[in-house]
Amino acid sequence: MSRQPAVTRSGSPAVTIALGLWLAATALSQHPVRAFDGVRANLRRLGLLVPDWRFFAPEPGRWDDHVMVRTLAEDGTATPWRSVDTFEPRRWRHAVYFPANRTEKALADTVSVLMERLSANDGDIADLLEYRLLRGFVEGRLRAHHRATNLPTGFQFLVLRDAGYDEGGELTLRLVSRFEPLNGG
Amino acid sequence: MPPGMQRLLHAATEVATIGRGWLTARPAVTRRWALLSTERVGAVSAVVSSIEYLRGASQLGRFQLNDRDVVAGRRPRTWQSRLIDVVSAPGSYRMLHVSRLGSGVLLLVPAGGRLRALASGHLALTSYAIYRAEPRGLDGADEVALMVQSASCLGRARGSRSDADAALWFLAGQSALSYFSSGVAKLVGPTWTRGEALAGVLRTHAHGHEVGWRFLRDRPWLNRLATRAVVAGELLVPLLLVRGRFARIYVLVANLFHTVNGFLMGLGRFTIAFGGLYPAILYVSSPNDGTRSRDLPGTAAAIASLAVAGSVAGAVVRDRWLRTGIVPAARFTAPSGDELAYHVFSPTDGASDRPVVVIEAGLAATAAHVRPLGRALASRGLTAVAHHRAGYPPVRAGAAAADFGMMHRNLADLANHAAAGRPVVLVGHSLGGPLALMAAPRVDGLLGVVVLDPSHLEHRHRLVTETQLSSRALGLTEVTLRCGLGSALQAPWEFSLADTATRREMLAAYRHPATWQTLRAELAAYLDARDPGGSRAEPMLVVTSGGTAAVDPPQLEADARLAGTARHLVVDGCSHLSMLWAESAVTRIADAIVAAIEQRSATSTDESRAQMAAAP
Repeated sequence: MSRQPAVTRSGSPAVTIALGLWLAATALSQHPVRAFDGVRANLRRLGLLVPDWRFFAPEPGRWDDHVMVRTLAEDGTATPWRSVDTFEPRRWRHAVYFPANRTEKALADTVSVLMERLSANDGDIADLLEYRLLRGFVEGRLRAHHRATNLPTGFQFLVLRDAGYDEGGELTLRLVSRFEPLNGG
Repeated sequence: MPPGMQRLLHAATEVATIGRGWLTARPAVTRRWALLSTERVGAVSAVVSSIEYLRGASQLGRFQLNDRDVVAGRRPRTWQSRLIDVVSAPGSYRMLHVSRLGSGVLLLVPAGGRLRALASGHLALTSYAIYRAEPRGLDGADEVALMVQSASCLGRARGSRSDADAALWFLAGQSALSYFSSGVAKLVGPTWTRGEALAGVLRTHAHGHEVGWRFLRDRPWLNRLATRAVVAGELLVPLLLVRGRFARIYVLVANLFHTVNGFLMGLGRFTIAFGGLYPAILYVSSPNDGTRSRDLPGTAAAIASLAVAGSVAGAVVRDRWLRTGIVPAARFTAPSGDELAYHVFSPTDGASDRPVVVIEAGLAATAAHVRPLGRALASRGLTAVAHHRAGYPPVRAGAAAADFGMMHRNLADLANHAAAGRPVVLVGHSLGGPLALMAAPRVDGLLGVVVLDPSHLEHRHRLVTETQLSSRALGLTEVTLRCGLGSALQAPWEFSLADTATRREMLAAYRHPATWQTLRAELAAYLDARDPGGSRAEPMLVVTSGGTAAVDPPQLEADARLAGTARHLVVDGCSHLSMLWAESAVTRIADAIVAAIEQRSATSTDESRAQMAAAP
């Protein structure tokens, strides 16, 4: 049997203060207007994590961002756009175990930060970390698709926002990449 | 009633009575049980997530979204980044997850207190390492797991009763805070209050469920009911903890909520992770045996109060400095009765007959925002005048903010006053764009209008629907600032590009409630403004920032349409705001304005000559 916590030693003020600070910082970082996230931002710079409890609020995400790609063959012909999404249909086991969801979330995080960085427009898009990661992700999917043989000359990708299962919803083109060359390596 | 049915009814009544009694009885949970259960749920979270990572969820490899080689090249070379590089190397990262499985199993079986503290500490540290190594792909459940593991370690490490109590109070507080904060934040979102949010979320592939979405879509009344029930539930559930009697109901309701979300939204990780907070809820709701410490809630409240007091003191200092510490502007009383303020940037060797450039800033912007552009124009031999609209501190509010027509008439009157008979060029940024175009017909000696990333009357409702400028968010911002909590308000990142004095002035105004009061009034006036149609001027130059061009194609198209045959310049390397003070952008814009003025002046001279030549 595991032992009960001993009661003979006095508590540490450091533990109470550390946890008190964490709880207070959390409480002060839940303003419904996210611009009031100064406490969280300052602590994050110090490497400290303050949870954000405002799930799906104030406005929930009601759209999907899809990444699509088309390739360019050596004869100059381009293929139609096709999706490189990772969305997986829901299964019962996802209530406990859902590894593919990590990739879905990573893709959504990357696109979201990339769009923020683009509005800042403080340099060449190709230098942005998120652009390079997204470009690499698309390239990886292409390489897997072509199995390293007959690789196309290059590719172009885009980010399209739609209303998910609601096929009558509005489509918004959020980003069209430049032509990206693909070498054999 | 047949005897069989009577017995059944009796049994059902008994079960209901027992169930109600159990649900409404205060839980009787020991510290030991609570801490053990917390540790075990934290361990299950870690085990499941590490299995996910080991089975392909990791994104650190080549061509993946946390590609270690791509990311490593971007990190500043500190000891922390070197540590992350070591942790995220293929062999060590696999070992990290395997070791987490070991710690998880250790916490699930009986083991000694010190060992348990070490295992929880290991899980907390490795959870943090994962967060640093591959942040893309993590979610709120991972944050909860990290908190549970950290608190378990701290509560167990010294074998102290009060440390354990502090950890359990901390987790219970986070649990109550999580639902309440989420509910409050949803009250600001129109989609939630209109009762449309649930179907909206469920229609997505990312967090939705096709069958669930179709079911709610076809029953709008149920969508409204369920959406509002979620908000009400999140707001009210923490109240169940007030007297401790309903803690079991709290746990049941919260667990049901997360389980449904797990199935419908694919958020099963949340069901497990939030389960780590329930033992603490039951413990702090149990009767106190006289040994339970309450230091943690008091400490957290004291720290939060100190932070609020510091913020209020900061607000007082900023307000005083705005009123007394900055260079006073020139003043002019407009025919409307409003007192207008402006700053003049004079050239050292400008010819006295050169045009005066009057600059009108956008929403929530003062003369300080356009100071770099004013200086750049002055250095090119032009007199620049920056309008500091009434209502933005330290200038007291006038009547114009509530009437868009009066706003642009004030601008025209100010231009006529400041130019004193010289030719005038109006420059408007953002909301200042339509103001300048509508003021132009009333300006004497107008040479032309320049607009920078202008708002377009025909698109003005996008300001509300596509940005955070919803009336509730703005009202709440103003109220929060009136409470003195402006220190938490983050300024747009572009402020960091301005020089120190300008940045301080902009920041102080940005965190002042009067700025947001004026912004709300001006925005409402703009949304109600009548489109003057043909009585607007045509611009002689339209400038779009590269950032706007990149993310807002409809705005770029509208700018091009507005320019017509005039020059349309896209300035790369700046955003909607930084185009006003990023050095390279200001240089390009000032040069373009000077070129447009010279071209317009030359055209005017040619036309005058032609008219004179044609005269009999």
